[in-house]
Amino acid sequence: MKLTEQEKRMLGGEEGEATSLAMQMLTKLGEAYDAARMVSVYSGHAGCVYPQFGAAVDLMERFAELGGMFRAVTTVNPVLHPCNFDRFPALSEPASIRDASVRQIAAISKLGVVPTWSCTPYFHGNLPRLGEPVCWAESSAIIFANSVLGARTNRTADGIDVASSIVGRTPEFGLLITENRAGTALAKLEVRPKTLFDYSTLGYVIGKQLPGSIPVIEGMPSETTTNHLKVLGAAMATRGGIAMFHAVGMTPEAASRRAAFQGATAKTEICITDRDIRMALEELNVSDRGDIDAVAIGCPHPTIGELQELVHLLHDRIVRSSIDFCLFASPETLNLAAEMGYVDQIEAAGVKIFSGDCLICHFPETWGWRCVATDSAKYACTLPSPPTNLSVRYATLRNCVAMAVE
Amino acid sequence: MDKLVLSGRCIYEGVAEAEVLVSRQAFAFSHGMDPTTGRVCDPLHDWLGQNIRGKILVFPYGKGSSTGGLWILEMTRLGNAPAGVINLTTEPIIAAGFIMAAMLYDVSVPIMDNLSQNPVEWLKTGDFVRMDARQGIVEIRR
Repeated sequence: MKLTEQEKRMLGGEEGEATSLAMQMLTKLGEAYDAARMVSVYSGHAGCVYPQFGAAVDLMERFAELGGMFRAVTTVNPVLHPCNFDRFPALSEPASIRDASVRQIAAISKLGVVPTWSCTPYFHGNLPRLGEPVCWAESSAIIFANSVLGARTNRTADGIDVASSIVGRTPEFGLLITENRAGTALAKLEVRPKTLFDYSTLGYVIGKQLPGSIPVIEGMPSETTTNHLKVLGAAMATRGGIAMFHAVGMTPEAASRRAAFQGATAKTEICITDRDIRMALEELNVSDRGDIDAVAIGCPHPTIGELQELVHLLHDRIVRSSIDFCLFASPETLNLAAEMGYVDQIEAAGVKIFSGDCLICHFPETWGWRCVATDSAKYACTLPSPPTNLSVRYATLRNCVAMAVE
Repeated sequence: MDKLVLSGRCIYEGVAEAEVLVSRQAFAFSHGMDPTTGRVCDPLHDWLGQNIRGKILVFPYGKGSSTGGLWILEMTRLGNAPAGVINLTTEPIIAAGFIMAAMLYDVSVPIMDNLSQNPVEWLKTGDFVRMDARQGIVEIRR
């Protein structure tokens, strides 16, 4: 890999030890993948997860102790957020985990992070342009950046995001290169998704049937919204490790099928039918029987429009005292929701709001949860694994509310 | 004793000599193993219950979450890293995990991919292998 004079100085330590350490990581990674050069990045999004992993705290503290500062404007994922620590005594974590999270947050704050604490940075002012190289963490944000914004990011490990933001550069390989962004498989829709839940399920089906691909989706309804694409991508990324999709006539690099495939023909072609959707619904309901202990919604973090819908569904209803109904959302959206009176109405119905947080950062088994209902296919895929170990009822928001209220 | 030599691409440099653990299935470090012990806990993986510590892992591809790098870091911090990794194609998440681990904990785990023969077919669990990633060679003694 060819480094510029400035990049060589960064690597050599002339611009500080944190920059040098980050540059060493990025050069090794770039060399492994035959990157010809580094490119500048002005936008970053950092993961900040697993406070229970000493290594995750070590990594962030090492960069902070060495005097690192983000050169790229860098937002950050949800965390085990201290603002929720004492709000729900029955849903809390041990002091050791809290302390580790506080240390991790202190370290990333020292690096100059923008405290968005959300997995939807693109809704919080982090909006790279079409063609702009970035180095983001968070699989649902990565697929949104590549597919919906047309920005360019690889799916790299947590830590590399932070290194790239510190250096303000990232090695140019993979999805940063135009030729590697061509579609690799065609997914024709014989179904017509309408609701967020439908798009979430559809994303799961595409992820399951075309793992590791760049799917080109044909037949998306013209009523599809940005938020529909958010949940579609989140489910696709989690189920299939997919970093990018094209929706013909809708996403910026897919004006036509031909454009999406960059002139090549599809090697694989699938049709998605009602039967695929029904099978997915069965698979995602790991637990189809028995009572739920909890409802978890807000994956990915909801928009103000989703909170408005929740307010309507909860109108004049109260969550049963035996059920923990938890909403995870970004601080910024919750500020708007508070101003509109939604937060009061949601809390009056008995919903527990976690700001800047995500269930995946917690240990709900210790809260006595066994089975959780959710409207998110991403949660339905991840919650059954450690550390959460929950069985899942995957249902529409309306049905989640119906299961939980008196 | 026969000695076979395969050549391949270096993803991360280093030398390792150890027994190999081979699978035809993709493997996820994230949620796929317990970093505090090195034991594989993915119920759908044929390494379930095996310990990866000190072994050279041979599997076709990585899979799973982009948090995989942190699982690799934590496993390494706790002394449970494998001796080496050989893939058909190494995904950047695995490469990045071991690159960061080397810099944070000074534990070097060589990684190679694109071998001259399909390693998943040529290598058998229990084979004793020496890999030198910088030289781009894998030697099998049987």
